[in-house]
Amino acid sequence: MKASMDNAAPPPPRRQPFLRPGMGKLVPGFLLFIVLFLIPGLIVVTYSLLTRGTYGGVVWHLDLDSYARIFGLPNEDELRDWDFVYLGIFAKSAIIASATAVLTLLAGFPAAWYIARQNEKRKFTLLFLVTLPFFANALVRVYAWMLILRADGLLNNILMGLGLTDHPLQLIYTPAAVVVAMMYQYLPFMVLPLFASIEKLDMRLIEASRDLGAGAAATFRRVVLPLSMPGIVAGLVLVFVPSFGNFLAPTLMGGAKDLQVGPLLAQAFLSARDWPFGSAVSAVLSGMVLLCLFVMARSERKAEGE
Amino acid sequence: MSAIVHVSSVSKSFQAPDGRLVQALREVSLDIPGGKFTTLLGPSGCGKTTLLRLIGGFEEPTAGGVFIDGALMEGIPANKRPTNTVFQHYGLFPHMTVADNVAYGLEVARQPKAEIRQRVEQALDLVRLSGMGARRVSQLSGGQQQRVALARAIVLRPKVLLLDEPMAALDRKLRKDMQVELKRLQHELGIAFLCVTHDQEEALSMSDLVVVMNQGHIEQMGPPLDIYEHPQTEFVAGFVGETSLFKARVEKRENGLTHLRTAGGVHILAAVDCPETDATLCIRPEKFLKPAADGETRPSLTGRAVESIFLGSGTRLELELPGGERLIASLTGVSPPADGEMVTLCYSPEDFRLLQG
Repeated sequence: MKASMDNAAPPPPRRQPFLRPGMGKLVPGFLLFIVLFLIPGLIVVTYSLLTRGTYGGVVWHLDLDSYARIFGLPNEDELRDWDFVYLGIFAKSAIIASATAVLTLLAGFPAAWYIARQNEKRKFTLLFLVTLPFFANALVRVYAWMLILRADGLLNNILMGLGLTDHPLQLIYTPAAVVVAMMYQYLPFMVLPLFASIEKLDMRLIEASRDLGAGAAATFRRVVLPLSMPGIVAGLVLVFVPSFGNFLAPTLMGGAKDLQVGPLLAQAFLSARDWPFGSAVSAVLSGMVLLCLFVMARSERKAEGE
Repeated sequence: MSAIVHVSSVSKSFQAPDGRLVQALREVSLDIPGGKFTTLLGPSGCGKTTLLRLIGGFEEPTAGGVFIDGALMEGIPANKRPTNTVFQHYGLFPHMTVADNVAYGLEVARQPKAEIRQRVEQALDLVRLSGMGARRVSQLSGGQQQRVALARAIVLRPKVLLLDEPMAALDRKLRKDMQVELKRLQHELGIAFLCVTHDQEEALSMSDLVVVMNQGHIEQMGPPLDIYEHPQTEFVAGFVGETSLFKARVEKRENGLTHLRTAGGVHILAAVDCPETDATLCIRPEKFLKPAADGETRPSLTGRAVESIFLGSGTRLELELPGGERLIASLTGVSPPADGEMVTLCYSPEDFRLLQG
C-alpha cells in the first residue's frame, strides 16, 4: 500500500562530537561572555563568601552569614533570631515583577497583533514607534511618570477636574506605580518577540479553525495562543528579569515600606557598606533569574515536542 | 434532484490594492445537487474560489444570497455553517498530532471523549491513514497531509464538503490516485462535494456535474460528457479539451444539413440548425478519421501538416487549411505525416457543434 511507502522514518540522529568545524565563529561571543558575565559573576560570588570590612570592601575570611541573613537563619553571635524580612523583599519583588510581566503581555499582545497585520512599510514605522521610548534616558522616563502620578500631578488634576474625586489620590509611592513605570520601560521587550511570533503565524490556520466550527475565543485559545507561545515566553522572560532587580522605578516611585531587591542592593553597597551582603543578595537574585530561564527553556522544549 | 446549495444571483466585488474595484462574480446563480460530486472549473481569476469562499462563509456577497439546505446564510460566519473545507494549503495545525487535528472540530463542539476517539479512528480509516494518529503533521508527506485535511473535514459530517484546488500541491501520480480516492469517498459518504479546480481532466474524471466558469460568470453547466460533447460557447469548447474552431457563413440548407463556407473558402458540411447567416462551429480532434482506402463517401477536409506529435496512444496532428484556419486532429493507428505533407481527413456532419455568439 502506498501509505507504507512514504512512511520511512528519518534515520536516528548520530551523536556528533562536541567540537565541530565552524565553531570559531563563537569565539568573540564566548570571550564577551567570559569577560562580562563569568568573571564578574565569580567575583560577586567570592565576595559574598567573605567578611565585611569596617569601611566597605572585604576581609579575606570565609563567612556564610550574609546568606544566613538573606534566608532568615538565626545567629547567636549577632543576637539575631529567625527573621524573614529579606526573603519577604525577594518575594515582593518577584510578585511585582510577575505582575509587570503579565500586564505588559496583556498590553503588548493586541499591539503586536495589530502591527503584524500591517503592510511592510507600516510595520516598520510602527515597530520604530514602539522602540521610540528607548531613545530617552530611563531616568527621564521614570520622572515623566512621577509628574503624571504625583499628588498634584496630571492624573490627579484630571480626576478632580472631572469631579471623580475631591482630594488627590495616593497614586505614586505604591506598588502599582512601580508596576506602571516598569511596564512602560519594558513594553518594547514584550512587543518585539510577540511581533516576531505572530508574524510567523499562518493566518490561514485561523480560517481553518473557523471552518471547523471554532468561534473566535476557541480559535484564540486553541490555535493562536499555542502558536505564539515562543514569543509569549520570550516576552515574559525579557520583562520579568530586568523588573525583578529594577532599581530606578522602585527607588523613585515605590513606597518607603515596600523595599525591593534593586534598592536593597544599592543600600547594601552604598549606605550599609556591607559588600559581602550586597554580593550575596546579587548572587541570590542571579541564581533565581537563571533558575527561571532554565525552567522556561525546558518547558518550551517540551512544548515543541522534541 | 434536490439542491443542497442554492446560489441566487450572487455578485462579489473586491477593492484591489491599487484602489480599483474588481468584480469577481457577476450575478451567478447555481444549484448544487445533494449527494453529488460537483466541480467548479475555470482558469485562475474566473471567480471559482471566490464562489467557494462565499459558500463556506469566508466572504460575504456584495449582492444576492447563498442558501444551504434551504436556509439563507447571510451574516452566518464560517463556524456556524454546515460546511467544511479542504484547503489548497491544507491548513493543518502544526502544533497538534494527526489525531488532534482530526479531533479538532469535535472537541470544539464538545463531543464526548469516547465518541471523538471512535469517530477520529473511523475518519482516519476512511482516508487510509489508520495507525498514523500519533504522528506530528510535519512528519507526513504531502499526500498524507492532504488525507489528514480530508479526514478533518469529513469527520464533522458536513452537508457540503468544499474542496479548494485539493490536488494543486500533489505530483501527477499522486493526483491520479487522489482523484479516484475522492470519488470513492464521495460515494461512500453520500454527501455533496463541491470541488474547485482549473484542471479540466480532473473535472471531467471526478464529477457528476461540471460548472465551467469564466470572468465571474457561469459559461455552462452539465454532466462531464455533455460539457465535452456539447460545448455551448467558444470558451467552453476551448477550455475543456482541445477543439478546432471555424467561423463560417451559411450557404444553403438541404436534407437537414447546412453547407457553410469559411472566410478562407473552405467548405464545411454540418448537421446543425443554424438560424443566422454567420456561425461559429467546433469539432473535437478525435472526430477526424483517416479516409477509407476506396469508396470514401464522407465529407473531408484537406490541409498541410504543420505539426505532428506522436503521443504513444495516438498522433496529435495540426493541419493548416487553404484559408489559413487551423485544424487539430487526434488519430490512432497512423504513422505521423512529415511536416508540409498534404493530408485529407474525413468527418461526420453530426460531429460539428454550433457555438453561441
